[in-house]
Amino acid sequence: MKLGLESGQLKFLSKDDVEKIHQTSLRILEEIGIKSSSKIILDFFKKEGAETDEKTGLIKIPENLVKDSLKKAPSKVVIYGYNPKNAIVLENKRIYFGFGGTPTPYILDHVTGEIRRPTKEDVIKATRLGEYLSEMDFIMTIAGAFDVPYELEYIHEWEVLLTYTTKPIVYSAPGLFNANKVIEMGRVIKGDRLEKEPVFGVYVEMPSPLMFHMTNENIFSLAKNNIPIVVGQMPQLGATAPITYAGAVALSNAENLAALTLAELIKPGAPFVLGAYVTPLDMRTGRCAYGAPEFAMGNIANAALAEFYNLPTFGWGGCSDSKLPDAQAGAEVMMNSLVAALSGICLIHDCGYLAGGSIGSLEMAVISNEVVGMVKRIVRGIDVNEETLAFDVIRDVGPGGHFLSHKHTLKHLPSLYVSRLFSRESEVKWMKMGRKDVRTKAREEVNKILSQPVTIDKSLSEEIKKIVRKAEEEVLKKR
Amino acid sequence: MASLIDELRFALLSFEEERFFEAIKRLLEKKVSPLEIINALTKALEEVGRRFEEGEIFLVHLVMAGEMVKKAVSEYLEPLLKEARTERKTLGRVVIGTVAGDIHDIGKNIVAAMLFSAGFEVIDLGKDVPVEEFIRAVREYNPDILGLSALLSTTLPVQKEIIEALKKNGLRDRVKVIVGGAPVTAEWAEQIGADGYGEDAVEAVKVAKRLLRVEE
Repeated sequence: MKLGLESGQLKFLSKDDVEKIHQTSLRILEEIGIKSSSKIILDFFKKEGAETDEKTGLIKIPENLVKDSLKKAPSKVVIYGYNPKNAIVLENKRIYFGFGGTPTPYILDHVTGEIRRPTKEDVIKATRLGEYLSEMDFIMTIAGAFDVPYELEYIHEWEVLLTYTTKPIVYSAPGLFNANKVIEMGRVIKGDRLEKEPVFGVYVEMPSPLMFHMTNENIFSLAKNNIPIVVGQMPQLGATAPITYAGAVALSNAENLAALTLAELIKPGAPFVLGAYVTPLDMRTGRCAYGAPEFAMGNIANAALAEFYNLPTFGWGGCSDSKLPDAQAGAEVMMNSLVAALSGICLIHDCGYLAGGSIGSLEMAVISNEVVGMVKRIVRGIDVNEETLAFDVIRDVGPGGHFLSHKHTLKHLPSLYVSRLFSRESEVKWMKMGRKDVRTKAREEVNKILSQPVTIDKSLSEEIKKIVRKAEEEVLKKR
Repeated sequence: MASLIDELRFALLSFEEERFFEAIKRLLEKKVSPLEIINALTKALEEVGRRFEEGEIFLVHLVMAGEMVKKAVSEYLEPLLKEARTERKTLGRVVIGTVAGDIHDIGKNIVAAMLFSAGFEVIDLGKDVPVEEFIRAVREYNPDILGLSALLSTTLPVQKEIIEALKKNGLRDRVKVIVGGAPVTAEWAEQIGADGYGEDAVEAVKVAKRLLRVEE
């Protein structure tokens, strides 16, 4: 099991601010309500005492229902992965970084340089890369299986994730069909222990502002089976949320609380990860801007809310709006990774995303991995104690001496961050080595990693494939 | 009336809603013909579009101006035109919607506002629209253009289903189909037999105009 670094040094909101946001969220749910296009969700809330309107689909959730549910949600959530050594413990602003996000419609081909549709093979390559990269604590994707029947895209992507990584997984399984298949796949790995040791968490997103959709019915299966529900609300400033940050946070927090209430009513104690944040809609292009400062700031607000509720969090970093792994990408990735980490977000996903999540890039993922290494070093901060103050060592060496050969130096060497990718060599050496920029070096690293032999659990892979084939039969029969 | 028309134009270009509707009311009190007002509005919207493309104003201005004009036309001007049994001349009729399974409609809303601003009549079917609803709307409204929006890779193929359904129902030749959304590409548009694809809202208007052979 891995205990992530404890963080949370970066704070913008006072306790009073957070209390005001919380109160506004409660009022939104009780007075304005959330609209459901799912009959199952509407009926469930009705049964639980919410005020519902079958014609409009509106659910008004009373404050006490939300508050009771908040008491039931656990403050600690563990996602295990195939190998329990990689398990991550989400609590107390411990930080973990995640490879990629939900599927991307394009991939930047690291061999040809073209931007093209990804395939299942690309999802495999991406997953293998994520498995290898040392700073990536959990796995999502930076590709998409565009070459399989579209109704089965997620099923195929889950097959790849569960086959090619031993790290904890967080991924989408929209709707009951996908969620149930994925839980079945999880049982292949864990059997009856899946409830106690979930291999993965499932990403859940509700449309903003204030809507439940049929795809959110998966919350029923996830809660019942104790699978962590990882919410990623993305209301856009001035478009699907107020342009003022506080209002947008109150809105996305209300959406989170609605999902949390649903989950805790279905099964008290259902593991829930809060992902209430805000994205800017770029007012020139209409695109969701992942490299924007406001996007990074969402993590700070989310972390403050989570501290208030004592819940683990989901956020983002390591991503850019640039179309290539270039200087813009480097700047944006460092900004949002560092802000997310210092805020104390537990699950920081999106590493390797370019073009605001439209393009996945293996080269960028390698660069983001490097940035995350630097970020984690900063989060570790400065320890002050007798050993680190090193008075005796300073006396040993004395004025005019050097510390290079002192055993104290050797002992504490791992506390220095040594860059594996970024250039620190002399300019003369750099020129001799072929004047390579960081993207070239990242590409070489990708090739090196992907040329290594693949090790998978064959019998497990076969069992999972059976579930995929059965899902295929069921879906294609319906066509 | 030039000064009052100027006032209307100024109010729109400075996005002052109250002032804008005040000008509309005063123009109507002075018995200025609704068609003349609509012409002035269309020209002012063209200016809004130009300023957006130049980067002088933002999306929010574009959508706001579009909605102000839409409200002026539907609530104030069209009822008068109907009484006088005349019709507003538009560039063409567009039926637009986000396809079944997809509830992301902000992009579609922007495109609808832009098309309207450019002088098209726009009928918006909303989001998560079933295939049959698109077919029904094509029959009922007989549009020049059908716009299909999808954001998710899993709903993208529904654009294809709708085009197939148009063919099956013998409606394909009656309407030009344009497709859009983040995962849509020119290749995809061609592959599924759409007539056009715009990579953003500005491009969508250009494509719509080109398809209907409207002079830019």
